[in-house]
Amino acid sequence: MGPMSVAPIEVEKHKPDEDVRAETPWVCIVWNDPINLMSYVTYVFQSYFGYPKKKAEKLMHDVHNKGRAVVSSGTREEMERDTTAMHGFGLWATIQHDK
Amino acid sequence: MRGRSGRPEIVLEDMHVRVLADLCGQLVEMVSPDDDATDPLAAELGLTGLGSSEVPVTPDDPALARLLPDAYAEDAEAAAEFRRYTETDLRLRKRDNARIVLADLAELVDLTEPADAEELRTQGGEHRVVLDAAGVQAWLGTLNDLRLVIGTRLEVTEDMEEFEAKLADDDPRRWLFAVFHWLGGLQDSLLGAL
Repeated sequence: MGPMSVAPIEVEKHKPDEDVRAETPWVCIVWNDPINLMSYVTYVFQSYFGYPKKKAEKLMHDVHNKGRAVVSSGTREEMERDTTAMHGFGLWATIQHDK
Repeated sequence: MRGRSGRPEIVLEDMHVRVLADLCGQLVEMVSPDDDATDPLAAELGLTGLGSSEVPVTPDDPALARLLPDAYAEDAEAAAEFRRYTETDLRLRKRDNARIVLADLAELVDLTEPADAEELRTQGGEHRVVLDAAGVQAWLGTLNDLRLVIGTRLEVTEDMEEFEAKLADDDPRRWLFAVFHWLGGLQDSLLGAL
């Protein structure tokens, strides 16, 4: 910061541990359920997240075989938005802090 | 399936139009928020649910709880807070999807007239609903919501076929299973057309 700067305070407020937390973000998890069609779950991952078919299918298989899969990560606000969208589509999704 | 227009289509018989309309009507009723939460001005301002003294909780009805799940699995307080701010919008989205499907169905058959059994037998016509992108999303969402409700009521598990095979011939759940499979077929064929 040069001597003329009027806004150094915000920057200095960041503590190191907060920066680490930003790198270990929140995640949106989709859980397996016996009702949703595999073709539909793949469609949701493609159409909402814009994932290529291969990635969408892998995530769908992870949900199906492992019981759950992390489908996106980011800030808490972003994950709340994704989770709401998943609920809108009828997928069973939750938000979690990726510790 | 994809029709001559090149756009995705749903094909339904008269009888099926009425069954689906009936189910959609029930879904609209089930997901619609309480009247006080749907004040249009409040909705426009994003204030729905905020002024209400009734804080929404996880629904007791397992089928409704499946449509409106808790967003935080291990934090009841965060889940309640999230529900307070988002549940009304989620309900409205599901309701509007079902209403779009209902409106499409109402164009095929006069749903205000009771079904005439004789007419159904003699005509048995096929109807086509040609869908645009918004229609596809509304139909897929509604077909899925109906499957979630019926599947939850039937307590469907991964071993569904085994369970179904054990049902007595006159068990009323047989009819529900038939509807459940039929809805899945519709949904899958629509997905195949995209």
